[in-house]
Amino acid sequence: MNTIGADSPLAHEDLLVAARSALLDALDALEAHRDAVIVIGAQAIYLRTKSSLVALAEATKDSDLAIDPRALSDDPKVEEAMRSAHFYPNPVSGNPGEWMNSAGIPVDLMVPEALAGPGRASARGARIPPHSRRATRRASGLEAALIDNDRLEVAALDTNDKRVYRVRVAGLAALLVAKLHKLGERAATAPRRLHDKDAHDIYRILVASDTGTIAAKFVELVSDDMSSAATAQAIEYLREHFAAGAKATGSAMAGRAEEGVGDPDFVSQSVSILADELLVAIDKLSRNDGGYEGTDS
Amino acid sequence: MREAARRVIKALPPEWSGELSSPRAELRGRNDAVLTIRSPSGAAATIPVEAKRIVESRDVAAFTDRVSSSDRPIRPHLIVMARYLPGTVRERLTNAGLSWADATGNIRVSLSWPGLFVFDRGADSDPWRGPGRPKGTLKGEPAAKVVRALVDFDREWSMRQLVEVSRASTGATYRVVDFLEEEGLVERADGRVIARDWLQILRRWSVDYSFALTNLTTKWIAPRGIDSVLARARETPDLRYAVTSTVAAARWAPWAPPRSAMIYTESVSLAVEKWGLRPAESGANIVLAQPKYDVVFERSQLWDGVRIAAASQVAVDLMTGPGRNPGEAEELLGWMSRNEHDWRR
Repeated sequence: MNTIGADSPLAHEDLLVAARSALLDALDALEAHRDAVIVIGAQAIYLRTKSSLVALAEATKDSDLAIDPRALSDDPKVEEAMRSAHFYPNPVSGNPGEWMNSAGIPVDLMVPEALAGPGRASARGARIPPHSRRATRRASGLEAALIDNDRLEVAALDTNDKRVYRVRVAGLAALLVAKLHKLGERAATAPRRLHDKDAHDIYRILVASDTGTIAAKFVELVSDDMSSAATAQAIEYLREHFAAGAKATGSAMAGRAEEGVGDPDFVSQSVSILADELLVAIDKLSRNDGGYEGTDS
Repeated sequence: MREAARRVIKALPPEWSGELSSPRAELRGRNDAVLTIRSPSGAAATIPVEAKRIVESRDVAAFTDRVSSSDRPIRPHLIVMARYLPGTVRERLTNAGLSWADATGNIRVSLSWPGLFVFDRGADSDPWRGPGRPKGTLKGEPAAKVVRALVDFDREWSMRQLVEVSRASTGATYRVVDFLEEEGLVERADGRVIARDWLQILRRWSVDYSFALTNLTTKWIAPRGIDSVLARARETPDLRYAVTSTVAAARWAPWAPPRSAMIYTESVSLAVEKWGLRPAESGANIVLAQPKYDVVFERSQLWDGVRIAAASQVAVDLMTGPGRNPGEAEELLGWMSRNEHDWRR
């Protein structure tokens, strides 16, 4: 078994190729549930931001998939489908929903908190019977991905691998909401688990998106019951950690991610400016719609 | 001349001696004096002296001609003496293989027989030039206009044509050409002006012109990067601007991806508004320059829908720019030298 960790000498390109291959393996495994699967996380961000020129190379070994339990059929069971495609539960973390393919590349299956069924606050596995409570993990901030997504062709990065699947991929607004939750929650509860790269991914999304378009999507997400709370919270994270200035936690982290390869000052300033522009645009649209009202107008 | 000669004699090694005297009959009329230098063994060299109050770069060729046109079997040497010899002149004299000395103590005497080399440094600026009499420079708009015209076009100019194309006044054009001629950077023959060495003219101009110091510059941030500004610039053809430095140089000699874009624009406020720029506290990626002279826009061109300054303007902006800019300037100048027909009309 080859296990590829963060410290692996494998080049970035090889890691990207291996991660994409694992993503396609998982899409293969969940073919019967294809309509319930939405690609999120770094891979979705790279698929959506191909054209944005930033100094930091794309790099991820993870594949994150959001599962919409409403579209999930009872058969086959998610855990059985994964195992029969040679995925096995991550033996190190022991967390539900964390799978690895035969090459040791992780694939996470996550259910948005709002649809993850009953469970104590400490419960980690989503309760989506008849599927195993160890098949998927509950996660906050993914609700927006169930609303903001459309189908994209996802192809292998290895030229010998001819697989191309047309699957649901989260939109930039949903990806931004999800990343803001990850960063905002860790900033509050586990600052040591903060990764500069997550903040840089937020910068990448903001650079790639048109402010007006993404603001309109945010207003839509806020007005939908399913994603309203998660999106409103994400807006507050954006305000606190980015729009507050170049020295705010998230802005500083995004800049730090480019140390040695790019221009940290420029990134910190830029991400803060873009976050502010987005908040102003959301506030303006909300006032016209009579919808969400930010605390800072 | 006497003071310069006195300094040479004083700088000779111990036991050596020197004497300045009137030239012998056969040299009389051609030279101002002769300097005789004797070694401790009694070997003597008699060197003709060419003395002038002021020596300019353009005079060097005449000295060289005099030496090389001689039909004597042993090539005569020549020592040039003046009250003050500027660095550029000293360099040219040295390259021509001539000895020189001035009254401030700048000395270089090189003899093959008896073998002797004397070198000493004096003043680096002319102590007799008062503050009220500024040295000629290429500062100012007329110089910029004339230099840009001379560099951008490969032709022999009549003064009238040069005035017309450069759009400098007649008097100013003459003054700039006079200065360039003194510096040995243009030739004048039969009323025509010829700029053969455009590269040296640009280098000389860069001493007196700089993107940041000559113009009024402000720093901005374009949060979505330089390309987003160029995309917007394509959509604002009514705004008078010209992109220069690294971004423009990529048109001819691509270098590393630019960290910042330097752009001349007539209206900074309009550019800021149309291109979505924010004031930069730090991390600026756009520098806007309100040009001191309009000539920066002359002979600019559209490249992929974006207006870029002429190669000569881009080169001088890079030569005087920050960070890696001077290195990029050399890259561009190299390209310009190899591809003169592609940019020089």
